[in-house]
Amino acid sequence: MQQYIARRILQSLPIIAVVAVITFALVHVAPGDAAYMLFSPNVSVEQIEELRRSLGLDRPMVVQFVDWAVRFIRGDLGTGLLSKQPVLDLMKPRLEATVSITFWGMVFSIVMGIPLGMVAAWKAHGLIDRAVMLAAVFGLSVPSFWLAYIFVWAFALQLPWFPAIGYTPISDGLWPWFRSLAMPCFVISLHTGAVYARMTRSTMIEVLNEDYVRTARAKGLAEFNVFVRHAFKNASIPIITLLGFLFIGLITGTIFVEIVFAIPGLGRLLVDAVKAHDIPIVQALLMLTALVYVYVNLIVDIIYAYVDPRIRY
Amino acid sequence: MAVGERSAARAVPNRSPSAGLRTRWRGVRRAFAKNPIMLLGFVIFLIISLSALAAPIITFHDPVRTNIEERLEPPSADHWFGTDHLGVDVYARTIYGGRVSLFVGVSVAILVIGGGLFFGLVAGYNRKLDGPIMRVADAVMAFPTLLLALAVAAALGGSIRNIILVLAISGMPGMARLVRGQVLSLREQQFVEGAKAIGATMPRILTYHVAPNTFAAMMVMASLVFAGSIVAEAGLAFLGVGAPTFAPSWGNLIVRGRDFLGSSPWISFFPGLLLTLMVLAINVIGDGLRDALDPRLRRRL
Repeated sequence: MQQYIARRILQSLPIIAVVAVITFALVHVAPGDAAYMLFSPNVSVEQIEELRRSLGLDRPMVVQFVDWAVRFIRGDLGTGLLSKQPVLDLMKPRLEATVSITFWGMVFSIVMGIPLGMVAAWKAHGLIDRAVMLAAVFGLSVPSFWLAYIFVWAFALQLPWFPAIGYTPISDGLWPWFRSLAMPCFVISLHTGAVYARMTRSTMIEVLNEDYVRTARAKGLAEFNVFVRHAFKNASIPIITLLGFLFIGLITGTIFVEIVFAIPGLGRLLVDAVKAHDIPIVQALLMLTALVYVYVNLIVDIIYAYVDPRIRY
Repeated sequence: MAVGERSAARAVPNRSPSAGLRTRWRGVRRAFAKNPIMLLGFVIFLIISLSALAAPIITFHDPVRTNIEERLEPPSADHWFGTDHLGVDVYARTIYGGRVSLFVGVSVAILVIGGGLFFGLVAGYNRKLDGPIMRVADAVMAFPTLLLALAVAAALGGSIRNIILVLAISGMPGMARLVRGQVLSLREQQFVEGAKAIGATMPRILTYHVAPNTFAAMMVMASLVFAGSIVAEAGLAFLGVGAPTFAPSWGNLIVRGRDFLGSSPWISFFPGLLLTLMVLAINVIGDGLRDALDPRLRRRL
């Protein structure tokens, strides 16, 4: 097992290296560099050159890349061009909102996805299955920001059930916190919940076709027992490891609802930085997201190998 | 999105070695006949595509002419989808918007199929290039599509061409990985060995024996990419880094209604509805194709 973990971690290193190169290259293909960003009409050419030197932009690309990478590893994610604040300090106050959205998004997706997927698998190809799967395809297809608008229109403007925009921090009380998150989290969890329901269904159908399920049925066990004790127990391992993909799927959704509902989170920070061409922030957030992606996948693989030794070849 | 793509890549079909393209098409036709929801999806797909093509014939107002006197009118016999804050007919805009969105979707799907097939075949057949190609693919896949597109838009500016390119690039690794997997299992098959034995060259084997057998999986994946890029383009427009507003896609149109949500919700509603219907239709077709073309899954269910 340790050997497997070590090998997987080693395998991830070249990917991380390529990811870093892509991240760095992506934001540096832009015409004009950071110095131009801070450029205002009454600044002379000498001053721009001076600024470029102070930002280290006059050095060769490779040197800049290595410098950036080394600092990143040491935990220095760079400094925002406009705010002149370290990226890490910009991120800290926004972390709570994004983590909260992701948390409730996960909860909603699981609560919707697993039962619906199981019901669909129970009567596979029946009417219920078709209805659930059609609903799931709808959840997969609908763009979250459009759905968010409709929800705002219906449940905030027409019926005053939820606040239309804004985020209430958890320190203001659990209920206001949840109320401010209910709509955005429900909207993004429709997509991930749909994916989860589909995956749960196919995993369950696979397990229900196994010999031991037939044996359980042949023994005369009640259908409910067969379903929950024999089938779901065995299906639960892949279903739980799918949580990792769920988490990753929520990253994109979070960006959209943070914009629609004016929630001050990391997604908003990224979009604002993109619009302002604030390169260090974009670079840091892009790199962090890719790191999260690679390592969540890694952890999922390791959990999988832990519960299912056949994987550790 | 990443989640969906992954699940599809995993659920992807094995081959039935002897079956050629013609048999596949027969399978496709049979699938449509047996699956009414899939047929409905196809009809919706056709209607929306044709309406986008025939936009000048089936719309009655200029999609760009503003008319302040008729601003923010609710849907009526004259303006089926109402008018926006500048008095532009939302129906005409929506139908014309389909052209932009579908163009993006089709272009990305074609580029992804082409690039994915090429890199997948090369990686599957050439052991030296396999490693590097797959490492780069892994790295590109580590960025959620939307984030990659955001970064490119930040660097190069949002134009339709840039959006198509970045969506294609982020879609290619998935397709390449899929094709490579198919090639790796196909190359051990007897019919490939047979072709080798009678002296067929490598390009010939790849073109005539391996590529057609990846068809089923690619069709499914391509439909996913098609649907996904329409949504992604709309998403980028929403975030303000998408296509320029003089070529309004469905995404641009949805955003346009943002400030009038309380008083005139139809401005955002109808373009979004058409977009959702289209993507829904494509996804339903893709699912149906997967079930029909995947012999392994068919056997099991």
